[in-house]
Amino acid sequence: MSDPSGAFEASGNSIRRAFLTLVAGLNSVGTAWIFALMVLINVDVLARYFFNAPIQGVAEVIELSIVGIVFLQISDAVRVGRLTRSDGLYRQILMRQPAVGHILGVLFDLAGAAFFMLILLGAIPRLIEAYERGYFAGNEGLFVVQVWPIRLILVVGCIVVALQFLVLAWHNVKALQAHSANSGGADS
Amino acid sequence: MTGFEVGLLSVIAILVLIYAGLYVPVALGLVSFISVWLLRGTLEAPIYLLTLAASNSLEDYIFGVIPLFVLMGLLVSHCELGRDIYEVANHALRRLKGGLGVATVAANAAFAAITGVSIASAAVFTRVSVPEMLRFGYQPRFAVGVVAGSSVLGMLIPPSVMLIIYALITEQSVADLFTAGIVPGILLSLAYAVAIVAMAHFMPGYVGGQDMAARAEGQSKMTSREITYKTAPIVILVLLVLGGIYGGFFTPTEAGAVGALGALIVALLKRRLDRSALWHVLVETGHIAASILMLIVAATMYSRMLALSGLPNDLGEWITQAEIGLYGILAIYVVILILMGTILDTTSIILIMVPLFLPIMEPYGVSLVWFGIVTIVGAEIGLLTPPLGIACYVIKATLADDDRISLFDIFAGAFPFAVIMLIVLILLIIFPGLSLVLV
Repeated sequence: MSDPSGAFEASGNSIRRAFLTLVAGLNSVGTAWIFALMVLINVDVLARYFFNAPIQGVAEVIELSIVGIVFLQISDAVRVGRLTRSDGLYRQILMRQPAVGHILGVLFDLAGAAFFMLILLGAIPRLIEAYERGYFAGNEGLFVVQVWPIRLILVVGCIVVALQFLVLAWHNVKALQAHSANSGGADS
Repeated sequence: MTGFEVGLLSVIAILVLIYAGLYVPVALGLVSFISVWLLRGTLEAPIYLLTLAASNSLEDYIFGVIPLFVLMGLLVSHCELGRDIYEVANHALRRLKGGLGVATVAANAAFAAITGVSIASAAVFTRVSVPEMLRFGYQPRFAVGVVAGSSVLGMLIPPSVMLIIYALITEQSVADLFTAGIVPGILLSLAYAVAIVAMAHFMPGYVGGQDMAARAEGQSKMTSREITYKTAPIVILVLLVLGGIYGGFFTPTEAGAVGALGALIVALLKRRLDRSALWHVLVETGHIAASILMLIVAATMYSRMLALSGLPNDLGEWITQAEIGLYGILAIYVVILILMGTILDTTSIILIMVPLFLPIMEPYGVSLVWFGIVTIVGAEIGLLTPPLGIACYVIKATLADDDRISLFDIFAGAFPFAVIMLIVLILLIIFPGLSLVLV
């Protein structure tokens, strides 16, 4: 790792850029979705009170939207460090014992990856089931929406966020290497 | 291992891991996963529970409230409505001793009625009212203390993300919790105001800012037209959102959407938002909403695990046998909340403690809405206390380059307000009617 070839570096960079684009792209879709949801609900409220014509299926769309929005945006939230944590002690450790801090950081990020992989284990069969049996939400004849696209977002979201955690873990490994290189491995 | 042991060990493990800095949802989710695995002996059970928590339990209409109220709160923060309401409150209270302090409380209370994110108000009022108080000779320690103390009003006065989270994990009505927050919120604001006026009278040296002449001179006159212009957006938003919910016109989810659109229109009219700022607000909304909803997913898993372990029931029986009574339990509960508040954030405390204590409270037939208000006020005291009073850290971060005010000053200044919160909390416990009168 200390002496990567130029080609390796370049391909690493382009993969990194592609992954960043993917995370940002999912996040943008989720972001636009929140805005669309706000507009939809307002239109429904207006239509209901002023024209006595509520829109069919708004409740079902909201129900399904939440899972979609969460799993589209969770990767970016993790990337920018917005996933909830109490980092008072952790910051102190990072400041006073950087090596210990980075090792803890690697463990925490791996735990994050493991958590979403476990969700993934259950999510895949549920996606297949929903697709094969054509599960839908709503009332037939009035408004019907397929469930499988949401479960697909759940699966994709879990995979991407687990990868994002691995990227963060990798950053911590690099920081640890940089630290031990600087201090000549003296602090072990 | 017995269920009791597994349950107890997992609660301890979760506390240690969160304190060490592991992501809260990951700590709750992973530890619960392992515990269910131990309890059931197969991997299928925890995988099933986790997947159910991640998808089915979120597929509920009511969860729409979270992104929408977060969006509204962030848009409102962009409108500089906090500054407007503070200027009006200042104008109204200019003849009162300690008036700038009381105005901060009043403006915070009004701001809290249109936004549900407490940290936002700590930052807003550090920028708006701390410089103003310092300009009129108030003591720095008092000035930041008032801001820290009154920032907790945001989570108590509806709409509040904290009330929503409690309602979601206990399956109570969001509208009921919003209603229950009103009187305690007003009570706490009044208690702060009375204390500030009393301090200004009896400890003028601590408060400072008694040079009324200089103040009257510096005070620009406000026309009634200006006052209307500055308060109208807030009044309209409060009427739309809270009026809409209490009047039965909107569900809380719809009220969030209507409020968010209202705040967007205000921001556009005041020309405080261009396209890139709006996009930025939406992205921020997504991050906050996704992390809150992830917390709820993990908390669902955790409370299922607790129920499986039987720990809350065992604890309940144990406490019943100890015959310490309802007030004894509540005293223990509040002490734990305050202690945890010194090291953990409010959301984590609520998510960890509520599923543990809910089954203990149920035999006493108390209102779970009232219990929610007690929990939130108790957990919020920790926002003002060292070592991890988040409100105080936000204020320090917002002051940034101002070396006159240290973190110690902020904690010291906030301390009297933490004591007032505790007194109000005791009143809320003794008189449940305070929370429930409007419900």
